[in-house]
Amino acid sequence: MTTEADLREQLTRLAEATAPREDPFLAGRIAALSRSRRRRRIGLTALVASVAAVVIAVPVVLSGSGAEPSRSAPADGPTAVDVLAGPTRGSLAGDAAFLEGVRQLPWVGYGSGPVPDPPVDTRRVVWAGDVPGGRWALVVGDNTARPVGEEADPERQTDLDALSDVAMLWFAGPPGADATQMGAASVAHGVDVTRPVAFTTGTEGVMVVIAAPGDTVEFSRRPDVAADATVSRAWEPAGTTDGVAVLSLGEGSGEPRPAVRYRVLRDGAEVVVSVPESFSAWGDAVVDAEVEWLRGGPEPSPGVDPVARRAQQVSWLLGLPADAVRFAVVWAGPVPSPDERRAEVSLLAATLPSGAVYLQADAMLSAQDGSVAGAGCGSALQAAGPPLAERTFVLSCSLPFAEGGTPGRPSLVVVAPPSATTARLLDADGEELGSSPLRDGVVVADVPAGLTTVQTLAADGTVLAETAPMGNVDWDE
Amino acid sequence: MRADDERGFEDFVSDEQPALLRLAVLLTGDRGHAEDLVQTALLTTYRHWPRISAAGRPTAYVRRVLVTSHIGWRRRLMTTEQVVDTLPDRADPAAGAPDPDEALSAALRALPPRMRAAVVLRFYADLTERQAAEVMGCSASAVNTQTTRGLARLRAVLATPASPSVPAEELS
Repeated sequence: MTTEADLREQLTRLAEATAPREDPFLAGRIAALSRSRRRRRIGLTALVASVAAVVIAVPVVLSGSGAEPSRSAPADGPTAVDVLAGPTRGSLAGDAAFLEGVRQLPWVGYGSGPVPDPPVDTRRVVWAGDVPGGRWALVVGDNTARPVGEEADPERQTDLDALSDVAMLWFAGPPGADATQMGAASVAHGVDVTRPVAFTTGTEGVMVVIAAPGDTVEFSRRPDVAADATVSRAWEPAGTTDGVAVLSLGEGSGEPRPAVRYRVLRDGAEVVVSVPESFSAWGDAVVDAEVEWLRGGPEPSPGVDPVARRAQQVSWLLGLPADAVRFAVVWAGPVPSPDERRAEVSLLAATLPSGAVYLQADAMLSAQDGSVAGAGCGSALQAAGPPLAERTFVLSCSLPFAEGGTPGRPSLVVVAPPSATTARLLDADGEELGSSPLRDGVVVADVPAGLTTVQTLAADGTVLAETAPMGNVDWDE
Repeated sequence: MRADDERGFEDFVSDEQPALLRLAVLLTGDRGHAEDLVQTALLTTYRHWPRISAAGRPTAYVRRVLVTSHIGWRRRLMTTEQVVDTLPDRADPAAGAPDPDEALSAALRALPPRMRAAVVLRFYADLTERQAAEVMGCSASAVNTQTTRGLARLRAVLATPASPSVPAEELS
């Protein structure tokens, strides 16, 4: 044996002896984490992930206000068009003083990190117009906050739009506002100019979609969940002028609209399905959801019940008024923490008008200083059927989602009817990995490697259910 | 992402996770960091999955992200927190098995990240210098240099009677 062979052998032995155990739910967790982070990137609203076209932004010449839209022909799919090019569109396009005033407005940012602040001479008003309840404008300019160094590597950059030459910002003001009354109404950021954009606010229920002239714009108010838990969407046409649709979503006001989608078609091919940017702040909205606790709830306390707030957010996610949904906490309780913070998991069920049930599990870490970190640990849609108390749920939660330095602390939570007395943990071959006694139908345990399903058994050994850990609902599939 | 892409990604994770974890634990010397590193690399891979899978080399891609992420993490840690380069390896009571070669493990952890990556990629992953250079984002000669220096440092602690040698053609 050569010395190189010795080293290879030792490294192999070392790797096999010290490697962490496999996480059977890693793929699902990564998908959920990706969606969660993408929601955060979208802006101030925690919107459901959009179908993002992964394309490198096409540079655009910003100075030519009368320039024709640039077109390119990708290998497949609809023709790529710079949807932000061309002269200013909208009902205020002829108001030169207003447009010049808007162009001069400061770009203010939200949150942390660099915010694009394009030189004024690179700015251009793409669209400006009166909408029900106000006056909006979309301005673009040179992106001055493009990532540098490693972050500029497209292979590693998680927000490819940030690499674009172009940044954009929506402005909004009251009806009849002059330019000085207009304020920044979205997050300034890099933008893929070939991707149609849209903006809405919760207050007026208005949405503006900017596409290319000749494009077809449609919108959908919410996902429709049937009794068998299948999901579809009804698409409504939106009239356009020069490729821009200004439409009223109606049905109440003041609420975020994460259930809304817009769709743009070009030559019969789908260009994009996405969520509009929004200025609605989830934390500020009125919470009027009522929640039932199936296994006993906490003592009432002053202030907004965090579970009720979460239920409210679920109603927005579903695009339904809170009183159209029956909310119930199936189970909530402590789980092992990765550190000194208190760790809790809760499972919220929303019974929809069709009878189907949307389930959402959340994990929270609470520190003594009052700060709370939360993460989703699963969601599901189930068909109408047995009462919630007669169903079995299995959650696999890792607290917290690793952010670079902190190892996660996985927990298995089994919630079953009280008649179930034992949980038998099985791998993909049906081999038993272990078992845990259930107390009132519930157990919190470690997640064994290879876990695929959980059987719950009655006292006489009868198998009551076999349940896989909860995955994640993708509303845009 | 389309359903078939999701399934493809799930299959890929299922197939590759054990190997990625083994590579990551050698790179990091720590189980927790190895898990985080694999998750980070797969998260990046997931975001570009349709394009990566269409290109037909997802394993090479995720390995490259794994290595460059590790090097990036270590660089940031060393510049911002002044940590020493020897990370404690948390014991896993459930594992029960003793470390088969603590001396090698300690020696690896003591190597700078690029040097450690070069040694691991060459002598664990069995990559050529050119392949290792692609993964690390550097030149083949840089890999050669890092490997040679890494082996020199390992000599003092390896349990072999003679030190491993770099093939002559790779030293040029």
